[in-house]
Amino acid sequence: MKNLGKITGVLALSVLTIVSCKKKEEDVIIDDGIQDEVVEITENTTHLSGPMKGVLKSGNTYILSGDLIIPEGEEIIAEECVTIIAEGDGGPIGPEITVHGSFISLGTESCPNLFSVPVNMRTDDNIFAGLWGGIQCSDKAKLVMLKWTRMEYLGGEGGPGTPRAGKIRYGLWTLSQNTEMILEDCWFYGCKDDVYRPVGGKINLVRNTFEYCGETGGDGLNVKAGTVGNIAYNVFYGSATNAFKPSNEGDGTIQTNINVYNNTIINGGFRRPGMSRGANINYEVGARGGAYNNIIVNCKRGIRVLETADVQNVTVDHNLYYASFQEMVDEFIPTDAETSTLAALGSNNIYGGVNDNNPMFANYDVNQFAYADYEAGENQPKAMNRNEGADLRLAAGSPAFGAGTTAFSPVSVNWVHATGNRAPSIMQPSADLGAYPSSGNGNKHY
Amino acid sequence: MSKHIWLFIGLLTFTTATFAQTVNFSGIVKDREERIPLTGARVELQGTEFRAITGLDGSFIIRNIEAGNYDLKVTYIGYDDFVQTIQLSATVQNYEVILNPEATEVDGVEIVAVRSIDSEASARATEKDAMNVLNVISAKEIEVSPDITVANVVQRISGVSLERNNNGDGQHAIVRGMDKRYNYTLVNGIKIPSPDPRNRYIPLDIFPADLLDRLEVTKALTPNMEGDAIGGVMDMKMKNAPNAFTLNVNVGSGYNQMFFNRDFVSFDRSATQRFSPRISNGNDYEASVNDFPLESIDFQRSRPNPNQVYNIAVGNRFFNNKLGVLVAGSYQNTYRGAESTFMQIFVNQEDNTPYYERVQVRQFSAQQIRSGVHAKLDYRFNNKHKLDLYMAAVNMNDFETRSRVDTILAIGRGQGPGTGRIEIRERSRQRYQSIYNATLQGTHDFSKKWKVDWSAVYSLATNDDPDMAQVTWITAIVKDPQGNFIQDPVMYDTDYSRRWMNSTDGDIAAYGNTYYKTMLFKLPLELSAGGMFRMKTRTSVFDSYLLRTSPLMQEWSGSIYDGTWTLFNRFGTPTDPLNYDVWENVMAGYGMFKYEINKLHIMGGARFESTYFEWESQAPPQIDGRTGRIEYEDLLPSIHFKYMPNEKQNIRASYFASISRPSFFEVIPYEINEEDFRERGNPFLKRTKADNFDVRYERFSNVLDKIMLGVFYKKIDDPIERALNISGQTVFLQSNNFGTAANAGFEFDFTKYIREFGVRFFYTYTNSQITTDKLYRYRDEDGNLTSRIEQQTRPLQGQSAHISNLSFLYKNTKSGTDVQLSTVYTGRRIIGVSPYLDNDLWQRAFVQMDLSFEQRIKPGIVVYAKINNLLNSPMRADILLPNTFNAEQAPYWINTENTLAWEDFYFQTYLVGMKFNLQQYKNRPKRGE
Repeated sequence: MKNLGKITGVLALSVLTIVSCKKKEEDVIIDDGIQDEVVEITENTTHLSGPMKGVLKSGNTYILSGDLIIPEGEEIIAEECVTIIAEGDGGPIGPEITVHGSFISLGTESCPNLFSVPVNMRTDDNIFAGLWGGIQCSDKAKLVMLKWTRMEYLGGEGGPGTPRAGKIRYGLWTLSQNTEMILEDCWFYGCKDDVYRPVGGKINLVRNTFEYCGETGGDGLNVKAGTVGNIAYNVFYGSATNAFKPSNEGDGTIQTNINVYNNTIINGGFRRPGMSRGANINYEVGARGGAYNNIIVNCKRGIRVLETADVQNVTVDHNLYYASFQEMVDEFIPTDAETSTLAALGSNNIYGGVNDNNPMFANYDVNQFAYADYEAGENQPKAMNRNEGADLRLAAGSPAFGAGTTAFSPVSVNWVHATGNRAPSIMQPSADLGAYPSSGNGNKHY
Repeated sequence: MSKHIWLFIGLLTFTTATFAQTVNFSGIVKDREERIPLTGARVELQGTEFRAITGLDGSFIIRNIEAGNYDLKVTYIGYDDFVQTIQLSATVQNYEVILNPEATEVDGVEIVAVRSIDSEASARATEKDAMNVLNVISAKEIEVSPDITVANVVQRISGVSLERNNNGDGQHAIVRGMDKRYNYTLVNGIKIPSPDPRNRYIPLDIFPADLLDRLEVTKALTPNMEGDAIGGVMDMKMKNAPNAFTLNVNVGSGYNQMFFNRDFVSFDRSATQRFSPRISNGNDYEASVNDFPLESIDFQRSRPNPNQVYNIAVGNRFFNNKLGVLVAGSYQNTYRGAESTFMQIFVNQEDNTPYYERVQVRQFSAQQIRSGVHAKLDYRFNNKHKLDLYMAAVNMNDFETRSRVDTILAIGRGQGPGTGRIEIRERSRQRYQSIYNATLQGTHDFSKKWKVDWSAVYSLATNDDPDMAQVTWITAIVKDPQGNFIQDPVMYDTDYSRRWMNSTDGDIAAYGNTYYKTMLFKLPLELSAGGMFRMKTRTSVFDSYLLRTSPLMQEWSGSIYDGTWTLFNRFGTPTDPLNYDVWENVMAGYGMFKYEINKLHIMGGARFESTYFEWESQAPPQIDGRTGRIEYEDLLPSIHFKYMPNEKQNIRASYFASISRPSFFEVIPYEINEEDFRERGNPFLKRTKADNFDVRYERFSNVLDKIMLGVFYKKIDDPIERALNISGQTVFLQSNNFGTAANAGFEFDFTKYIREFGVRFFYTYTNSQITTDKLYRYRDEDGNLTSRIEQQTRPLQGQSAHISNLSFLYKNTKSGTDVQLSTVYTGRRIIGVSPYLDNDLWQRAFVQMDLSFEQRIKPGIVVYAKINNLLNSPMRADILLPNTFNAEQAPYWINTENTLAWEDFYFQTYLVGMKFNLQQYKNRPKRGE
């Protein structure tokens, strides 16, 4: 009898031992963030900050007083003649437009939009100061469309809590293969690092002008894996490293495929230290596409195709290279990637010795700089990096007339968001090289 | 000729005749209570020169004694002297001497001297008597081994292999192929927090080996143990207060072979701030370039000082032996390094094979200063009630530089071998890790049947990893038109980084157990129950700063002080995900029985654990998941059978259920989005659960010799691995659960001593399988480069199919000589899981050999020498696919089947020193005694 309690004890423990009870699964509670109400922009709106949606009315000037957030599923449309002044909250980190939805800027030739900083800050000293964060997209963003819009003094450090907190902020940044980016007839002036870094996405960059882009090391367009589209009829003054760098680096199921054609690229590739850096158009890691009908003037290197690129699917043809110095001539076919570049090189490129094949711009002295000017880092002459009265249309007798090919098609892109009246301008190639074909169908910035 | 033969035979006859009158006397000396053999006991025939010291197996032999009657005296510290008259008329063999432990009188209460478990024999006895699957390594074994840190000691245990740090030194234990995350570490049975900024596991190299009394590795959990180990539990039992005044001192010095050949790269730490500018001055502080002094990137090259190892332990008993005190301190200052070639690999988008993207020639220089102090006090009110106070502080300061010269193969190699873009990177890193622990324990025997013990614990682990700085210079080698190699000027790269990482992890815990002994059907039954709770608070802060050259173009002048920079991000990175706080409360209770049915002992029961986890990240308030909570409960049954057909054999069978909690950081829903790298936290990460089965046969043929044969099987639900997750078209790295994995194996463990010679051998076979999604890169039918997901089945990371250990020991107690040659074989294993199909990085099988030697000069004074990595065994790691793209870039490596990606050399480490033991010195035989 006395043993009964003990037996019960042992039995109880044995039962515990043998019966593998149902183990309770995890209870996970993830607290929602505190969401501010999404503010609808009205006629009375003067300041932009926090979650907002709606229409920025023509003729209005808005103060970007903090980070403007376009929530997922929402959009902001800027009509023509809209000015946004990135003033910030008085703190040292400039604001940005964070896009989880869509942002549309519909400037026009007669009345472009301006996204800049207060007038007193638009100084030469601030060109690379990185005063505000431009447009930063999350991987949920659908469409960013900028037409006839001027963006200035971009980049710098991302503010706390933003997607690029504490890191280099590019002028434009997209993260998803499904995000669509349309830049047409825009100006980009002064960007601390890359102007646009698409980490995947669908792009149409046509008829834009890039000036003073990349303090050092930055590229005009630094493309990562899964980006498809076209870059055409752009003018690029003085890129730090590359003007356009298609790469398929990263993971995804879509191969980077970009055609770069009818662009005029001047004075690029010298603001990056080290001899083996800097080109103008640079195909890298697994990228495919073609570079046609471009005019390359006084860049550190010719168009380069690295051996890691999808070399068999890269074509470089009908481009004109001009150089004022032997150092540049020696690198028309970049010596550090000679084999792979030659493999992609067609037979119709135009290049020769020093001062050969001058493209004969209507108003631009291609021989105005000394070689030391190119290597002067931040002390490069201003005119090397921006348009100071240049007219890059072709003068009569230019060898660029008719030297191009029209025997290829722009990369075809399956647009999902940029449709209907938002459809991009798909530009067909022109037989005249560069951004200003004689047909007038090219770049409209004169 | 024949004359010589006759002379020889004559001599032989004479010799035999002479010795015909003498006898031999041999036997063994044992302890009465445990029946364990006593090594080093003094056996003498009083009044004669005949004496001997017992060997490793407790045996002794005295030869050529004239037949007759003698007074045999056997003495051993901590035991009563044994005196007996014996008659030696003929050779006597197997004479058994049983010694009684010394008894001490305390207030009329007899207290039997505490047995120290620091000897090898008692280690075996502990293994034999344990109810569960246990391996023990004693202080004596550690002392004579080549190891000076606990990390290296654990590899001497069957089934355990090591994960090594950058400098080839052991750091983490992999138990039965289970990665470090599946094991936990105890100090005196109490779980200690980790200084690691992300994880739970403890770097074992922080603990100096000579503070240990013994190391116990448990491979089967009982209900009274915390339930979150699937591989095993490492319990560091620290030295206890002795029975009488003791003083041990150890002084050693040494050098690494590497630094006979090259300089050590060091930097000036004097200007380093422990915390980042933001943490020191607040989030609103706008840092400037002046907050980043250049001393830490001013690299100096010189030969290092010799390594230093010091250890002292003092102990005594006071107040009529009621209070025991032991204080031990250890200091190790060592210089190590590595010569490393690392190929940065890119996976070909064409056919998923690896190719070389960069060649990195790397040199590591690391100074490690380990210091540890621990104090153990015990107070015995009487022989029923006892209090123990344990306090410990261990620190490891690690100062490391990495010099790296990268040749970029993808860009700029167009002019052929010898040309290309070169990046020179110099990195300095400082790490200050500490673990503090204070434990108060009480043991109360309320009656012969009822006993209670309890512990109250405060522990704190800190990790400061301040101001890691990496500067990059760029240059290139090009060919001029004549074909001469020309090096570009060395320029600063425009950006360089400085970053701070600090974390603390504090535990407050309490444990209580009660034991009740009774009889059931006239057989002994012990019932026990207990509980514990632990409240953990962990804080981590992180800041990274980018500095940019100003002016942009700067040529390297030879002095870092000529460089000028501006600060890019003045406010640090306050919302980086590594800025987080977590709280974790664990409560547990268990019930357990032990029933002894003659030769069959059964122990079983169940444990209930409830876990409450809460986090707060520093993300802005709008972000979902900035805060959150996870709760779960587990019931973990276990049962252990031990059948003892006779005194020498055990047959064991056991089952236990256990879990493994996710690490602190990986469950916070953070996001990192870089161009070629994205990472996500996973709050839905489940704890891993496992059912573990063990069967083991053990034979202890005498008290030092053992044979163990075992098999184990583990069914692991929801194992956690960091792997690729594909969500839509986004691919990111995330810790995830991967179905069910199985891990099975076989263990063989063998120790045999024949007088002075011993052999220790173990072999473990492990086979585990896990299936995860991988990416396969290929070109599709449309000619586009793309990728698809395929499943790959592979072993768990860190698991070697074969691990083995073979040690030869020589121990001559008479001359006081100890020699140990230890060889560890670690079969090939995955050390890096690739996101790409079959591109995992496999470390090649390797053999490491270590040698140690000890010689007694006088009783109590010993000199020793230890040589680690005798064979300079390299660390090599391959990807098991050929490099079909640019194998020629590593012409000195054969890459036809596999692609060698990593090769490190660490060279030999030498240590010589002297040990002093006061008691042995005082008890030395004096002249005329």
